[in-house]
Amino acid sequence: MNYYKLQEYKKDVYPGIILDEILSYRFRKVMRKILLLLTCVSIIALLIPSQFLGSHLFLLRAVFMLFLCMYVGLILLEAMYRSCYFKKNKVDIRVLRILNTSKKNNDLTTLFLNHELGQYVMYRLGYAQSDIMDFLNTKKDIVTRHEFEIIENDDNEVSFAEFGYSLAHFDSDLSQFLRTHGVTVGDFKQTLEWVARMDQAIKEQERWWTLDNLLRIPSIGKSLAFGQVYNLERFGHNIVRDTAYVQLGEKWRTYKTSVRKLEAVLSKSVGGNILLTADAAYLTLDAIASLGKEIMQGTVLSNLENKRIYVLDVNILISSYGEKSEFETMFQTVLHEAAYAGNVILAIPNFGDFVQNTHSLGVDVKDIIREALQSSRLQVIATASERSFHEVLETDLDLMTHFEKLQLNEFDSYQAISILQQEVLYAENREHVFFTYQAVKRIVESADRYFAETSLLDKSVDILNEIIPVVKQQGEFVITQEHVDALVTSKTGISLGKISRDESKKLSNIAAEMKARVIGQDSAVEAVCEAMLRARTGLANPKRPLASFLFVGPTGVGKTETAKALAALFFKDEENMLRSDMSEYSDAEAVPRMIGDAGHVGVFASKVRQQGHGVLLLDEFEKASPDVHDLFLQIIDEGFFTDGRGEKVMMRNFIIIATSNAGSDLFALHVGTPVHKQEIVDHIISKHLLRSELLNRFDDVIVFESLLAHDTLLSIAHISVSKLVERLDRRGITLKETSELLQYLVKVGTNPVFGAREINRVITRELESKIAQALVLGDLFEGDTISFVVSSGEIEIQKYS
Amino acid sequence: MKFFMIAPYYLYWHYTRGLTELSKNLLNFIVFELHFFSIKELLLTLFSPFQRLKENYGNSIVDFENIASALVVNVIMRVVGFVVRSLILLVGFFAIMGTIFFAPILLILWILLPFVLLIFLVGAVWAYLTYQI
Repeated sequence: MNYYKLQEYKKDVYPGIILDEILSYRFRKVMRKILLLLTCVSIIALLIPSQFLGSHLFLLRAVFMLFLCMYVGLILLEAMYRSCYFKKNKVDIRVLRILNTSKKNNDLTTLFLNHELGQYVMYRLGYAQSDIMDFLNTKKDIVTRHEFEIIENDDNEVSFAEFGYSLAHFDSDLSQFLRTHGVTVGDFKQTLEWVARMDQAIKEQERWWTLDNLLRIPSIGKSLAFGQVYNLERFGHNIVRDTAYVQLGEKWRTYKTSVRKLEAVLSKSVGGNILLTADAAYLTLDAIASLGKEIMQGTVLSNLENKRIYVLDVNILISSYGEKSEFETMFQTVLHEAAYAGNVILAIPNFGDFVQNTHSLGVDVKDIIREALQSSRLQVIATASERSFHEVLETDLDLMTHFEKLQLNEFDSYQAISILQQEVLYAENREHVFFTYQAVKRIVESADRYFAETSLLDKSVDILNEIIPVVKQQGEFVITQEHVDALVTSKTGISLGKISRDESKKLSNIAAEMKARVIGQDSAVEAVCEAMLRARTGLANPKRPLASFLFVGPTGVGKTETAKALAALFFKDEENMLRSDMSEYSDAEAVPRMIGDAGHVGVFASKVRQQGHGVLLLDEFEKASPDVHDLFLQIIDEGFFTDGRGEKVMMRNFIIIATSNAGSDLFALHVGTPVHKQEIVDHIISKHLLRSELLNRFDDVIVFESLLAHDTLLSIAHISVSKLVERLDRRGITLKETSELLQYLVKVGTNPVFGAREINRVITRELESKIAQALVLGDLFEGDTISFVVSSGEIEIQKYS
Repeated sequence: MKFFMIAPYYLYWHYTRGLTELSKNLLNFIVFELHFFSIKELLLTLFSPFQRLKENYGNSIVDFENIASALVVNVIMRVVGFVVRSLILLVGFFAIMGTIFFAPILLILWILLPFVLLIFLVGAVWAYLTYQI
């Protein structure tokens, strides 16, 4: 739509446009307040007895009239503006207002950025007033109204967001300005939508006289026509009155489709019962609470007006009546009461579990409910998890004919951002802080990536509430992406966001540091470091684990050491490592043992949950059963798995390292020459050790060479001896390292098949036990200095005196 | 001076859309009062027992004592229900009558308002000027 076409839609709202142009919205608001105050002051002045005022009384009356007239005049003008603002029009009045000020050669971007809302959009994106001024002063490209064209949305309407979005599309300077501050076009559009929606919501709220707003005021006298529910008050809670539920009902404020469906089913005159299923229980309860609030406000279909929703407290009912007949009588009474009251909707949470729990009492709850639904006008909302629905309820076809099933889905991240934006406004009003759009987006991203075990939205709101006091303590009030990153880092130990100078130094040294720890595996270490840099700079896929590797190579060449080094460098502590011997999971029952089932908690699942982040080392991965391999296929692909109880376990904060000594024979054959990666991969596939899909899922397959160079082995021996030196030093004994000792260790402790693993064993078995013997026999005391010598192939302690 | 450019637009709006929107809002207010005082629901259940409280007559036809006491209770509940509902209906009735009475006055006021404002404004300025002299 071009400028001339847009002009056609100006007619109906023109008075509003010119008023806004002459007196801005903010100015009018302030003027109204001032004039109201002045009017009030002059009224008070008029109350002073006339003998004190004398001839001033006349003047005072004139001043009072003047203020009053101006005040009323402004209110009338505002009424006109509102009338235009809310007039249904194909083109948003705010767009027409900006275009109306434009002259022939004016730059539209400049006008947009000078408008209140345009500026506000930029503030939300983290720009300061000075940034905008600098940009406007140096701007070269000019978009005039003649060449400008608005990209319309699906309903052929031109909204404020579309206007700004089209500007960024046409004005290369503007899009460059956005890009240099790291704002994508998508971010820009979402912020425009947010600001426009907010502006409208505020103006809508101020119009208390519309029917919509008036009908939200609850009516009186209706409760007289309905019965009381004394027993249900004991064993249940009114969802809008009980304090336990006050917080609920907020999440669906923006996305109401599911609540609308719930409303439609319940307002049927016959058989309006519903079974809500969802993976997360809070979703169902929240949807019910949301409906409850709407009923209270009177904004529902007329059949649902005056209804009261009671949530049955199943646990209290069961614990109060442990005996079958007592329980049955009470439950039937409650159902009868609910039906007789005439306006009660009974919500039964976790219906599937309720059925199972009461089964042990010998009660058939399904039967009682079925009878109640047949013989009376009882209305029920039952909720259940997907799992319990399939296990307990779905099979009872007769009962299911009374219910309509509605599945509630978790919000995706786009929806979560919109909902969170709403929450942000409340928080801002309450706490006097200001969130940038990027901060809000990053909160949802982090919640999704780092804390997604429960609900995305709940976690996001948690972070939102947590970050406000933290930032306020620092004496700031604008909350940016960096604040969110810092908070997440402090909670997870994972570095996020922009790379600081210290960190960049550390990252560039990381390969060198790892090479110092892992001897003789330079190419393997480099490959790992490259992948880790990708993960840190955010280029890696956020929906997968931080990194995943398959380490292949003979035993004792440094695979485990590399994993430990990674844990130390990326998670600040070697302890941040979970180690699992996969040869234990080679049988058919392996997967239930790992992730648990309905009755048991899986070992692996609970360990991962407890740890939260770190390096996961899977030793001898190829020995695990094919089912376990499939499990890891999913984990590497999606970054989570579902445990035996149906709950998500996140693995996105882990570096997954599977090790394998598959092809040790290959390494033995290749003594002295390097083994190529492709050879190993072919070998693994041809021997059916791992499936090729799984192999392809790993970020990289890393080959560890046999440790054959004599120098390499000497360095490894040196590192191991240094550790012994340190241990002895703590006992007050000084050990001098000699080349003789190192040569001996290399000779005895290494071979082509087992690598350097034997070195540590030799140190324990021979050196340490010799020292221990000497200590026991009294040959060695604290403060002694010793070294080892080799005589006729045997190692012996030499003591310096 | 630009400010006075609004005057013709405003006056046009005041007597066309402004007027219709005001009348619609007044009607809305009556709808709101009907909703607020639950007029329809209260009329339909005017003689129902108070909060659906009732006593059972029992199964025996010869248990006169029981029947009589139940009858007394039920009659009382209906009387109480009637009295409470009537009171609310009465208040609601007066409120709606008030609105219906004041609505035309408000509309006339709306029509006169621009003139009234103008006269008052001119009067105030004139008074101020004469005071100066």
